[in-house]
Amino acid sequence: MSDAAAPAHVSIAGLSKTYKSPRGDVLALSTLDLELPRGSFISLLGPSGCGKSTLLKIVSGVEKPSAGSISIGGRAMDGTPDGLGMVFQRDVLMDWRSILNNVMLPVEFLNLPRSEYLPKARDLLNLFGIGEFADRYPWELSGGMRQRASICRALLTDPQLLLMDEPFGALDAFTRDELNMELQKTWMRTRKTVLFVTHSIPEAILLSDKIVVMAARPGRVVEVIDVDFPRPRPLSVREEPEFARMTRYIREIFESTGAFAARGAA
Amino acid sequence: MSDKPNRQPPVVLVFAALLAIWEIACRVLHPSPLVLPSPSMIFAELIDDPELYVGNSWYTLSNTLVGFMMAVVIGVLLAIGIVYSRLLEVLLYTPLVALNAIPKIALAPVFILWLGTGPQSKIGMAFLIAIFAIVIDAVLGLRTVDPDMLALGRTLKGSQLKMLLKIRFPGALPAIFSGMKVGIALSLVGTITGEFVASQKGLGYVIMSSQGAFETTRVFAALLILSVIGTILFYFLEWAEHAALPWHVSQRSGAGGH
Repeated sequence: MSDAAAPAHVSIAGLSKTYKSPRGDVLALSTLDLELPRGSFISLLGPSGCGKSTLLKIVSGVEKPSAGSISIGGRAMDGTPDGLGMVFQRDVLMDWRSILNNVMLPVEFLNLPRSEYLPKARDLLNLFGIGEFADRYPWELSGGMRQRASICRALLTDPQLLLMDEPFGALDAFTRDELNMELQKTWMRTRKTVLFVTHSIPEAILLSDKIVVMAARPGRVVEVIDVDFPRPRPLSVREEPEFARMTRYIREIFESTGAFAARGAA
Repeated sequence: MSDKPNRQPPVVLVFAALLAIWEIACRVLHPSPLVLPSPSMIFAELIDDPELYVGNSWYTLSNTLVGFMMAVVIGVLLAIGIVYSRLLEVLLYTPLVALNAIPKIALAPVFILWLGTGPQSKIGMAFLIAIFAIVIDAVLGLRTVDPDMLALGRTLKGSQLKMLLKIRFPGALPAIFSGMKVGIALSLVGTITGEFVASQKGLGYVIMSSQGAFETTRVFAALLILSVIGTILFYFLEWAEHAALPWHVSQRSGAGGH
């Protein structure tokens, strides 16, 4: 692909993160270098404790790195970057707000004109098939619909960088497939740079341009794998021999780095 | 929403049923009116001297409400201070918890000394006795905010004030309401205690003075009014919680738990 030619949207250089704890320091993330080309879909794939969520928190500005630097759009990152959308594993919808007002939350926080974004919010909800639930409260919706609403919230202000922390990890397999397809469609339409955390190998292959395979203790990048299936990728791409080969290849990386043994022991 | 209409009648029905049993028991067993007057005697007493009861009830109720509302406003402000400032936490929270261990009824004489025998000392007692429950529940509510919600607020560059008003405070409202429901009953206790110690007015005064004169029917009339006031105040808060937090109450009744 032509990714190599595109300028990096996010450059991560020599990043590390150490957590202090009474029982000694824990190296959550050892020296990490990573380039996210503009408009690419990058997955961070690895077992629990490999630092993928830590990396996401650092890129979002919620946590500070212990060493190293990040530049976004060519500028060194200082605090929370502009133009950032965030999707969490749990939908983090506020129970006391209607779905529409949950989606409108960024507008209130960023002091943007409400009248301008209200139609956008409704359009997004319609696009994600939950327009008729705009005035309902989160508890009235299923898990899949709630996560759709939280994606709408992240997309409302049209951020150029979308960070997703295991967004479909809590959903059942059918809903997960459905949302994977919707996410791919949205991404192809908007071409945002997406940094997507998952621990599902098939999900990472299905969605990504590049998979950053990580290992734990200490959290580190083991390998970066390009995924070249043509888009849009149907769910049936998972039945292709190449897909199976790639799945096996990644699983073997995890086996050799002891990911499965470590998780079994923990 | 649907459980509200069929929730109110049972309270009144239960009340009526209890009074009926009481009345029947008195007619059958004939206890001395000095020990246990019948409900019909109590109602006769109430109708006989309505001014006495209306005036004194209003005195007790208004002092209770003023003290309670002060406790809510100041309690929530203190809780916000405690949650946001480590210094205030050290200065206020621990002493508050320690002070809460004192039986606050024992402080009534001190309040009479400080604030006199008028309404101020009753308001002071209603305030003091309720504020602990409110501060402690409000602190708990403000602290148990979802960390992901705060992270979301931070990625949206939310100011501390926005985080408080749009994330922490709404999330803490269910806990604040539960503190208020405990607090309102306590406020009434505080007012009556103040009236017991020194007062020329209020239902507590009616109880004390009638007891001294062996007017048991009057004591019971005042007790009946107190129980009605307490019940109404509690259900008023339930109703207010329903109205203010439809999301929370509905979720709770839907989930069945908690």
